[in-house]
Amino acid sequence: MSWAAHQFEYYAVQGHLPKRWRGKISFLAIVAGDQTCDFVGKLWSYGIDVGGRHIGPDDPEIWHRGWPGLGFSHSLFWGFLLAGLVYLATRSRPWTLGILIGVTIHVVTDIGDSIGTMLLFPFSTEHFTIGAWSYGVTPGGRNLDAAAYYSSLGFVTDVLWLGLALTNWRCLTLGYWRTQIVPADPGAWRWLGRWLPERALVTLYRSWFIYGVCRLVAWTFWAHVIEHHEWDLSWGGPAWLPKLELDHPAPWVAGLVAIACVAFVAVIIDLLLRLPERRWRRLEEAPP
Amino acid sequence: MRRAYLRHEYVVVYVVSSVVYVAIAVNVKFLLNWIVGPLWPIACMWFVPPLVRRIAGWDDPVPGAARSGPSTETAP
Repeated sequence: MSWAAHQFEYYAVQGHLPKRWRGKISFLAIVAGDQTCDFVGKLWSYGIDVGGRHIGPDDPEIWHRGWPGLGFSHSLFWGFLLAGLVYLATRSRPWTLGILIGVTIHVVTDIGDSIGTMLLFPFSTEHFTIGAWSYGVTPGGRNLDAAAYYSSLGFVTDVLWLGLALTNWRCLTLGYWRTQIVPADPGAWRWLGRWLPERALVTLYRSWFIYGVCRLVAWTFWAHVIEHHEWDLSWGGPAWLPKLELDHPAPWVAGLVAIACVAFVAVIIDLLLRLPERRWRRLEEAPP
Repeated sequence: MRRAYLRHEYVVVYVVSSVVYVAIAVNVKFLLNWIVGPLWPIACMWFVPPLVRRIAGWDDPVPGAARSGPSTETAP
């Protein structure tokens, strides 16, 4: 699994949307779609300790990413399912497409760990993984998971996503928020604006970026300055964490399938953007 | 001082709130969750600037900046 990379990817994607998509995708929907994967999939994955006894799934990696389990939340199927429900409920184009993009970037980013994701569920329950770092959701809990992630290539992944987001740093400016983010989803921002002043609204837009930076710094500081965990930036590390991995990982296949999935979703979004306007609710009809 | 602060108010609040958050969160790691994490800078940006201005006795630099919602000049 990925940590702060999931926060930076919102801005990396938003800042690099194709020109014809700009102003038509809700940023808040990208965030919501991205977060549904772990909100559903990680529920109960770590388990809890009560009276010295651990209560939780026997195989957290299967529960979180596999089938039977909640692994369907890390598949393109989940993205299309949610986007379909959002369309039926709202007929909002920015939200339908945003949800689909959010889920897609989440499940593709998560192929980086040693368990990977079931990208093609329900057609296949095969896990696709490039195995760059060791999957860390274990009964050892969140702290061990974080220590392992921030000692491995997971840390590098976070930094790369941060760098990618910053290549278009203008997407974090007040002007960008006013001219690109709000017009794409006026109903939601107007609704939030009933309670929040503009400075809080623009901070809401930037909040996941700030949180991502804080998360990256805090966990890295804790893991290496306070707890003195060992760095291991080798492929599949860290070696000090008992490794959970697939029997026959095929990183190249996983990479190609992930690229194909992103291309497929991009084509679908492009087609949906060409649908006649009458298929969607007009932005002006958004709730006040 | 006043001018420098007002000009860089967002940056000042973001940096100070982030440093405080990280300093506390490395000791109370529960706070590093995806609810408290994003809410913290929003809360700071919502409440700290008016407090600073009130304590320092500075006027609101932009007329209407404190009102709710996106700026009407650019919002649709």
